[in-house]
Amino acid sequence: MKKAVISLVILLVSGALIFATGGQEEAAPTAAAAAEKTPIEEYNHSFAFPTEKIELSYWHVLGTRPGFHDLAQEIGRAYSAIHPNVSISVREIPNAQQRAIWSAAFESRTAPDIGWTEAQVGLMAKALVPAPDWAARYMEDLFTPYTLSLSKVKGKYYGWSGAEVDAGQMLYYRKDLFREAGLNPDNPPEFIPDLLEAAEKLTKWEGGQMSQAGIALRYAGGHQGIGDKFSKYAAAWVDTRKNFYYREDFTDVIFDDPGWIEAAQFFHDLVFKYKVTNTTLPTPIQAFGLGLAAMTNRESFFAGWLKENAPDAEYGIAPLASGKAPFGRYRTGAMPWLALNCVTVDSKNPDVAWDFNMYMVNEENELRIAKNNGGMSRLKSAQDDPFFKELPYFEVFQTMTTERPIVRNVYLDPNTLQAELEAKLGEAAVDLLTNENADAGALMKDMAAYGRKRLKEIGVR
Amino acid sequence: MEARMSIGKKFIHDISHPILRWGYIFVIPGLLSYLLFTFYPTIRSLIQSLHLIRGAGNPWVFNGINNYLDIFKDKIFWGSLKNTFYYVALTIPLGTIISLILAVVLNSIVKARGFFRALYFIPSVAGVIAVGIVFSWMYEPYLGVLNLLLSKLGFPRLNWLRDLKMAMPSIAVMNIWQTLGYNVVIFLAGLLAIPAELYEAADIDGAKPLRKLLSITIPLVAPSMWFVIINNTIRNLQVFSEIFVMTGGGPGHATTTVGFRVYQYAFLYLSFGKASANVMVLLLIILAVTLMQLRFFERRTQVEF
Repeated sequence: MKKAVISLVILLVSGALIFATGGQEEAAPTAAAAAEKTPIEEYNHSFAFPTEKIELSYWHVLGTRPGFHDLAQEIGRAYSAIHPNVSISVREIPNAQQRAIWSAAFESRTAPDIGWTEAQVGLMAKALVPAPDWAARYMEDLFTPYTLSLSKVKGKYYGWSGAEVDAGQMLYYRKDLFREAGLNPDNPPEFIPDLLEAAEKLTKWEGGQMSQAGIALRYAGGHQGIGDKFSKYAAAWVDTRKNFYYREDFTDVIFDDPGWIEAAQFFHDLVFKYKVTNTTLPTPIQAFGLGLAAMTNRESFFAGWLKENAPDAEYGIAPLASGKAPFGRYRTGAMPWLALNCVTVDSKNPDVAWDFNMYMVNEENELRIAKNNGGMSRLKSAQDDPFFKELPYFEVFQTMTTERPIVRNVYLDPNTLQAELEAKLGEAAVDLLTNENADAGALMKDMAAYGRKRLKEIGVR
Repeated sequence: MEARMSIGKKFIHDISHPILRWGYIFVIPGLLSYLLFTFYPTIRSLIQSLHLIRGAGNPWVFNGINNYLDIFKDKIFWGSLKNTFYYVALTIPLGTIISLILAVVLNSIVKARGFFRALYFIPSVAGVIAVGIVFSWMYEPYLGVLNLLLSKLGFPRLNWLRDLKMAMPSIAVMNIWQTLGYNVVIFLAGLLAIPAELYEAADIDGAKPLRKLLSITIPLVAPSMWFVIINNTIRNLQVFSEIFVMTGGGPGHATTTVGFRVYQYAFLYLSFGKASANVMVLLLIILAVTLMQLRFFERRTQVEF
C-alpha cells in the first residue's frame, strides 16, 4: 500500500513537471533574429519595446485548415526569437463551439490577447481593440484595397481578415457527373434558370430515395451557417449593392421585400416542387466529395478540403449563379465571410499584441498563411505571384471581384445584429427546407418583424 | 419567536460544543459549493431573464417579463416543449423496463456475475459526447454500419438522424443504451436488499417465477424504480449534449428541445436574457414534473422521499 502511494505521488509530480515545462519550445535567439525589427518598431519609432516578461495568447478556429496550427506556432517562435522576453501560446478552439467559447470569454473577460473571431460577435461585445494608427498604416501599405475593405468597420480597422480572402461562396460542380448527365462540363450554369435546369438533369432516384442530388444545400448545423448559405441564393433576387439585410441607412430590415420572399419560395421549391435536393444527404461538402450531389456553393477553402479528402473528385468552380427572370434579376457579386484576427480588450499588452498581430501578416508570413489556408494573398506585392494564379478559383475570384457588383458586406453591420439576424434567417431556411407546408411569405414577414423589433430594442428605430 | 430563539440558541450551543461543531464544519464545503454553483447561478439567471443583454461590453437594460412573453410567442419554443416531453416519454418507460429486466437477469447469474455487471456499466462511464459521436457514425445513412447491415439483409436504407420522424427515437435509443448500466446498478442494489426469506417462503408455497416477480420482486424494488424514474426524468428534461452532438436540433426543428433552445438563444442569437428566461421556464417545468412524480410515487410505496 505504502509503495503504491509513493509510486502514485512520483507519477503525479512527474506529470505536473512535464505539463509545466511543456508547451512552446523557446527559440534560441540568434544574431539575425535580434537584428530584425517587428512592425511596431518599423512604424512607430516612439514606441519603446517593453523589456519585462510578456506572455501573449492566441486563439484560432482554423483546425480545418491543415497545417495552420503548426504554422501559427512557428510564427510565434520566430517572434519570440526577435523579442525573447515575449512568449506566444497558440490554442485551437473547435469551430463548432467557437461562438460559445468566444462569448463566454468576452463575458468573463478572459479572452486571449489575439484571436481569430467572428467580427460581429467581438464588436457586439465591445471586446475588440481598434488598430492603432501605426497598425492601420502598416495594413494600408501592405494590403490590397479589397482586403482592407474586409476589416474596416465604422471607419476603423479591427484586425486583418482572418477568413480566406476570396470571393465568398462560389459554385462548385462535379464535371464527371455533368458529363454523365449529358451536360457540358466546361459550361457551368451562369443564371438561376440554368442552375435549376442542370439540377433537374443531375438528380437521380433509386428505390424511391434520392441517390444523387442536383444541388446540395446546407440544412443542418448552426443556424447562422444555414442562414449565411441561404442568403447567398437570395442575392440573385435582391439588389445587394444597396441593401441586403438592411436598407441603405441601416434603420430598417428588408426581409419582407418581394425579392426575399421570392428567393425563400424558390429555396423551398428546390426541395418540394423541383425535388433536386433534400435533407437526407450528408453535409454539402461531404455529399459533393462523395459524388452524392453534383453542385454546391462554398468558399475557396473547399478546394483545399477536396484536395485533402476527395482528391479523385473531378470538379470545376464557377461564379455563383445570377438572377434572371423568372428567377431573380441581379448579378451576384463577391460576398466574403468576415472574420477578424484581432486584439481583445482583455489583453494586458495591447501594443505588443498588435505588434504580433501585424507580424503574422508581414510579407513573409502572410504568404505562408495564404498558401497554407487557401484564398488569395492579402498583399499588394503578391498579386502577380504565379502560385495564386494557378489556384482553381483564381479566375472566378477575378470575375466576381472585378466584373460583378461589389456587394454590401453584411458582416460590417454597424448595429452588430448580423449574427443573430443570420441565425434567425437560418431558422426560417430550416423551415423552408424541411416543412412541405412552410409559407415563405409568412416566414419572411416574421423575419422582418423580428429584425424591426430588435432594431427598436437597441434604439435604432 | 420562541422557536426562532430555540434554533439560534441551539446553533450557538452546537458551535460551542467541541464535538458537535464538527458537523457544521463538515457541512461548510458542501454548502459553499451549493451556494456558489447552484444558488448563485439560479438567482443570477433569474435577474438576467428580466433584462436585455447584448454581450459583455453593453449595459443590461431592464425588460420586465418581455423575454418570457417573446419565448411564449415563439412557435419553435412550443415545438421544443413537445420534443422534450416526447424524448422523456421515449426514454423513461423503455429505459426503466429494460434496466429492471437486465438487473433481474444479472442478479440471477452466479458465475462471472462481476464481469457481466462491469460489462453493462461500461457505457455509463463513457462520456455522452463520445457515445453520441459513435452513434452518429453508426446512424450515417451512406457510410454507417446500421444501414450496411440493413442493406445486407435486403432492407432499404433508413435516414435515422436525418428523418423528421426517426431522428428523436434514434437519439432516445442512444440514451437508453448509455444509461442502462447506471440504472441496472440502482436496481441491483434494490434487488439485493430484498430478504431471501421471502423467496424461500414463496418457494414453499409453490409460487412460480412469474408470481414471485410480480408479488415480491417488483413491489419491493419499487423505491429503486421510482428513484430511477425521477432521476432520469429530471436529467432527460434537460437533454442537451446528445442533441448538440448528434443532430444540432435538426432535421428541421425535430430534435430541438427546451434545453437546446437555451443554447440557441445564448450562442446563436447572442440573446443572454432570453436564454436565461428559457432556463427559468425549464426549471419550473422540471420542478412541476418532479413534484407530481413525488406525489404519485409516495402514495404508492411504503417509502417516504
